[in-house]
Amino acid sequence: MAEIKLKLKEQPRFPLEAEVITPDNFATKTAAQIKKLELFHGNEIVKLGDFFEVSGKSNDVKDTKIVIEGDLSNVKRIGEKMTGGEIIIDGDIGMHVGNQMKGGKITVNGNAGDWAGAMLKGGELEINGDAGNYIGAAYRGFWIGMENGVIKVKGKVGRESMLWARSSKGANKFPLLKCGSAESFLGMHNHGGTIIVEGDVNLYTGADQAWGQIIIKGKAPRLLPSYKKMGEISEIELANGEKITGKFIEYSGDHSVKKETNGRIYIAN
Amino acid sequence: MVEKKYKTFYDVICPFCGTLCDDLEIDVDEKAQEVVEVRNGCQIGTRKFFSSNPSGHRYMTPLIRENGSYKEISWDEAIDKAADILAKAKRPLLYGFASTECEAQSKGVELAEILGGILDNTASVCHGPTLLAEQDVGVPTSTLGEYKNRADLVIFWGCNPVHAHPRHLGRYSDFVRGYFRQDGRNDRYIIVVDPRNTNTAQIADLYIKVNPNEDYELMNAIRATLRGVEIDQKEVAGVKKEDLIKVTNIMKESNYGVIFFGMGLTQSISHHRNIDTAVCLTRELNDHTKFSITPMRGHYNITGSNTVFTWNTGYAYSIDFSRGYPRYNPGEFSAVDVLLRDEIDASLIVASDPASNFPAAAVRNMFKHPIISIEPHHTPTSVNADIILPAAFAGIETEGTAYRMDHVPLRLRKVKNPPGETLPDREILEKLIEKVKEKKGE
Amino acid sequence: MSLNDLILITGRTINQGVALEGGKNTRENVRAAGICTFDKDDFIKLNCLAGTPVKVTTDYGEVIVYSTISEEGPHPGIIFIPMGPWANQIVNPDSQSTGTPTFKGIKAKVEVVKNGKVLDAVQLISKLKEA
Repeated sequence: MAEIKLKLKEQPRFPLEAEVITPDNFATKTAAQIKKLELFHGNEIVKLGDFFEVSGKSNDVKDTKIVIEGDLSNVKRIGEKMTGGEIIIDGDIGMHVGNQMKGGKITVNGNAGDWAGAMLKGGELEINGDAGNYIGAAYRGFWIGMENGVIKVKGKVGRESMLWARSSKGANKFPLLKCGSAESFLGMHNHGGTIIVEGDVNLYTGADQAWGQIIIKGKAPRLLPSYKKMGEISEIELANGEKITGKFIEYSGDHSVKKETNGRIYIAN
Repeated sequence: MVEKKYKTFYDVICPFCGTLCDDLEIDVDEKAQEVVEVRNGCQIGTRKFFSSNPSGHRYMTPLIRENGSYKEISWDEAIDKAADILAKAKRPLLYGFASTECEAQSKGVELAEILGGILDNTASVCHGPTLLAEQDVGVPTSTLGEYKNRADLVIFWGCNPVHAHPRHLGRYSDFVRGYFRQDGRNDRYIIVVDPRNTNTAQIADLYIKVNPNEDYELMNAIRATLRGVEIDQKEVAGVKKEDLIKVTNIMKESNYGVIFFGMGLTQSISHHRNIDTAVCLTRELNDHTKFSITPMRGHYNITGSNTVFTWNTGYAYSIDFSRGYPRYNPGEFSAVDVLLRDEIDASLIVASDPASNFPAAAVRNMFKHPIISIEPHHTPTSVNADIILPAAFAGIETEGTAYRMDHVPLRLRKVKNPPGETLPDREILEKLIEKVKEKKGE
Repeated sequence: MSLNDLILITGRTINQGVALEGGKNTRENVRAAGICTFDKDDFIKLNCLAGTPVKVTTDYGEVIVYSTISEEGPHPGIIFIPMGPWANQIVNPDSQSTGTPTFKGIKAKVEVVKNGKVLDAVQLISKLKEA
């Protein structure tokens, strides 16, 4: 894979909007051309080279890898709408990383800000630290959020992660979030998304879930009153056909949405 | 013949809260240009009219801060210096726009766009969550007149109108006779849901004490019960299951119900999801009877601010213009959040008082950068500003349009002239727009 | 005397509304908004006279205000401070990415400070201006 290296030269005073940093935009460009690409800093347009040292060479989209080094916690929108290739971030990353991605892979070796992987349509986003609120969620006013792809967060995801997620068995699209632990309102308004939590969750998991599966291997404080205990189960079949084995208690819900529902929460027993 | 010393204005709109009462009578001493008497207003509205009279608290001329004290300057100089600060800023915050009329709000949009800054109004810390929920699930709502005439079940959830909207109960929701509610109070059943037995709860027919921060679960349980599902728990949010079922049945068996809600839902931990579930509950009740929901908006024209911002930009608050076009994202572009992250480098505060009403950490960061304050009288924000531009009171000293909490637009009156060198907000903003355009070379 | 494990709610009162229209930098405003209202049974545990200054502490800060007894009780375990600069020293500024801070439902504890000084709005907010 051809590799482009970016190194943050100085901390931006205002949030730096860097949606231009994707394999799609870097493909077939030289380092000199990449330095001239535009970023947005407050109400001013700046050059990528003003904030980043650039070296290396690119290839076509699928074969372009971008490695970025530095504390990027005030840099937003990296990886937006990318369709292939790879981005590796060695440091913390700001809001909106990988939003609306269609393909390729982003790895963050640090913490990620809010709205990471928002409205994901494909590809893979891996965060090896904690992530903020609204991970894999829909943006304001959208009632369809993440539709496909995989988000893996080693640490904790913030509130309302996977908000308005929507799967489609017919189209073979199964959005999936795997995380270490989660804050409140995980899977809010879930329409078929699959969520696997290795550890604990907070309150209101699965609020307004229409259908979908939320598997909690750790603990949950009380579930919503609109969830009803069904019984014990030792094998869960995910929407995409994969199976998870272990001792779980199965709950149906959210019954405030429907009297009969395919929505489920499984809590490890 | 007795010479009439005062002029009486009838049907004056009160510029205090979102109830926007339209029946005030104001006596003005025309010679002295002072408000002499206010009839029909509540304590707070009355006080506001009187506070517009000249006093030590009122700004009469533009002021600039030099060496820790304020010096009077001319309008031209003040506008020039203010425009200079704003034009040079790379991420200015324009905030407030609640206690002013619609044309001023529109000018605010124009100025924010030219500056490429962030535009936000007080909904951001108040009923912003209501708007977020409405954007997700809609809002089955109606007007105050309809509620006055039809509602036989009135629920106040997380709000305390006796304190915050004092005449609401007397004009629209409780003690007033309506077309189908000829017996007034006796024709209505009032429910209050609140962690405290507030003064509003004390005059209700049914008070439900809910645990703080647990309203979401209570509404969720009521919705499940409404669907015909029996919940497993014996108690939810401090409310026994049988009481929860009783309330659900009262709701189903009413002829026309309305839920009024306030900060108890928007400012507690579940924020907009409280409203989301309250709206879904209202919608689901319409399978059984007629039900509506209305937020108790605080400032008298915050609804107007949301309306004006929306028809100009497509968005109601927390708008960023830094890319040359409006983008909306509370949490990213909302005033408190950008201040907490120390993201801004100058602020213009209009018709609001963030130094009093924002959490201390946000105020601390706001004070690190230049502040221009468009304000009629001393507030904790204005006494810390670098430039003070003295404003006239909309609804007292200048006309304009304001929107009531139920989106009904009403025309504010002018009962006396702006004192000293004060100008209406819209004129001040227009001057700033012209000067900023000049400085930016347009 | 002190009380732990309380929940703080902040919000409007009519007195605070009247005071703020009259001028936020006045003594009237301190008496309207620089106060903490207790459930009457909780207040007995504090063992002091109404009006004695108390220090209210949360994870986000501390502030000294006058104590009063609630007319909107009973609400054991809940204290109420009207909205304004005193409340804003100790509320949760985090909006959880919604834009609206969490002004209600914050864990708090209270301690009587008989000789505590309750600052007026200007003094309180000036402290935030320190370089």
